[in-house]
Amino acid sequence: MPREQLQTLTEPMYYILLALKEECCGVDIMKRIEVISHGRITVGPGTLYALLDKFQKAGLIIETRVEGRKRSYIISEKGYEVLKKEYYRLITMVEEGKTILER
Amino acid sequence: MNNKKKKIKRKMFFASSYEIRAIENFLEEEAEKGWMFERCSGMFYVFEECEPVKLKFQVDYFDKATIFDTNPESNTLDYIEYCSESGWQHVFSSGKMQIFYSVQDNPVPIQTDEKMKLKLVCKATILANWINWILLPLIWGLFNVREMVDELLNPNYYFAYSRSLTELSEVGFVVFWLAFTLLSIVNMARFGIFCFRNKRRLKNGLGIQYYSSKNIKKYGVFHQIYLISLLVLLAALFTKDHVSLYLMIEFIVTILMIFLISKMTYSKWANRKANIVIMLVFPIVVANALIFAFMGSISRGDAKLISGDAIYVYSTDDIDLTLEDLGVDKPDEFLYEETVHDKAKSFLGMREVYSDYYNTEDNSYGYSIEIFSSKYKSIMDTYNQLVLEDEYYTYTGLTATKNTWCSDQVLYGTGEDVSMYVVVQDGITFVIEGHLNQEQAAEVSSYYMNMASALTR
Repeated sequence: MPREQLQTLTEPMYYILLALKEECCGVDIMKRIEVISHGRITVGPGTLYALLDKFQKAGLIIETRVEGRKRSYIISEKGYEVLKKEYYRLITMVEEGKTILER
Repeated sequence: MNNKKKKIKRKMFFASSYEIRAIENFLEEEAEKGWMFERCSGMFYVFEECEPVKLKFQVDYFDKATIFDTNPESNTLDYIEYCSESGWQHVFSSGKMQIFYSVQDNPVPIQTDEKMKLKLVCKATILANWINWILLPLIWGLFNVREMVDELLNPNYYFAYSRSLTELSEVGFVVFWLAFTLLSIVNMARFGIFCFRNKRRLKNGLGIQYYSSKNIKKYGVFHQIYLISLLVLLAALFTKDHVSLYLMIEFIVTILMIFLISKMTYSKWANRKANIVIMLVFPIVVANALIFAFMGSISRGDAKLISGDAIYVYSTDDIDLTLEDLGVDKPDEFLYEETVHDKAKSFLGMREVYSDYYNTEDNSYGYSIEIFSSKYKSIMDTYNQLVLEDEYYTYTGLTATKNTWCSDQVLYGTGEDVSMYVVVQDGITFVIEGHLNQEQAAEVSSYYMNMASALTR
């Protein structure tokens, strides 16, 4: 059940969706993730390909353009919701951590 | 064009498809020694001579590729493109397996998500191995078990034909199967441990742990020794039993043929669907044709292969023409009377054997008749030729002579102990052997000929 799996996002999933806030071709996503995460996160090409396929099937991203072997994607409304949900979940986690760790 | 032929090296390396770290290390070591990986099939790896280089290799599995792809399908090309953009050059693919190399010192691995990687590797391994791990031992085992049950349920089986578990060839086949199954189980267990251990490791936030290179090398040596000693054992068993040796060779040749034809028919121009048909259906048809072609060179006993497996009947009532009918007196003392009626029929031909023997302590007396018929002239010709060339008759000192007592084409021979009479008619052949004189043989043949002509009509 792919949809249930996508309820919480793994780190690479989160960053791929972040990178697709703006239209981007598949190959460039890897570079963009490195920029966004300041080199902390790297997503391998095999993993990226598999995740894009998964996202597209679940309707979280939309294919926008195909030029030869280059395919471009952008996040869908549904994907945006999932991303936002994850973002708020992370904020909640950080804030709850703050109340304990930064007292 | 570069006409200089590059040197090529082949090397064997025992590593299952999930032991990717070991394969990668192996390819990297070879590249450092000046041998660039080119292709592989099973455990055979082919290398081409090159300048010694430090390369990083990566074995990956692409889920959407299948063994039926000839050129990479468009999905696979997309994936290869992604990899080449991040510095991974594609060298080889076979089924789901994809092999890449990179010249960079510290390239981004193709799979960065260990959970997804473990899943891919496990799935690909199961797909690549289920036939020889599960299907083959199972089918083979079922055959063996059926045979054993047959023998256990039917004690007469031991006397009827020289086919019993105590016979070397039978033992050989069972030993071979057990050894094969054991190896499959050990391989599966190794894989199972790998899967479960790593699932637990990933749950605890650790990375995938592969079997060490040392462990894999040791296991490879075990593999080799195991297979070689098994072959030696089998050879020792089968040199004592020629028919089984032939059957064994036939078996191995058939498997090799299926493999070769399937490789040859794998065509570069066909698409995935056509390849599924070509690679699965065509080899089976050709292999079957080859079995029939090969049969001529084996032995008369293999007529069974044409007519199918026999149904054995052991009651005396089924023997229509007993020794007493032929005017032979029952000996005063005999160990047992052995009567067999063995009948088998297939769309290619029919084979029936009737026999009636008395076995006394130091001798046996009786006759047997084998009736073989087929609608196909070529099958009849092959069978007749085999009958006349049967080594057994020359061994017992029989010489074939043209007959005088029957208008049909008959050949017969008389030896010290046994006589043999062969009656060849259109589409049907009778082979009568035993301790009969000409008149008795003529009676037997005319009796069964009447019966057979009623049957075949």
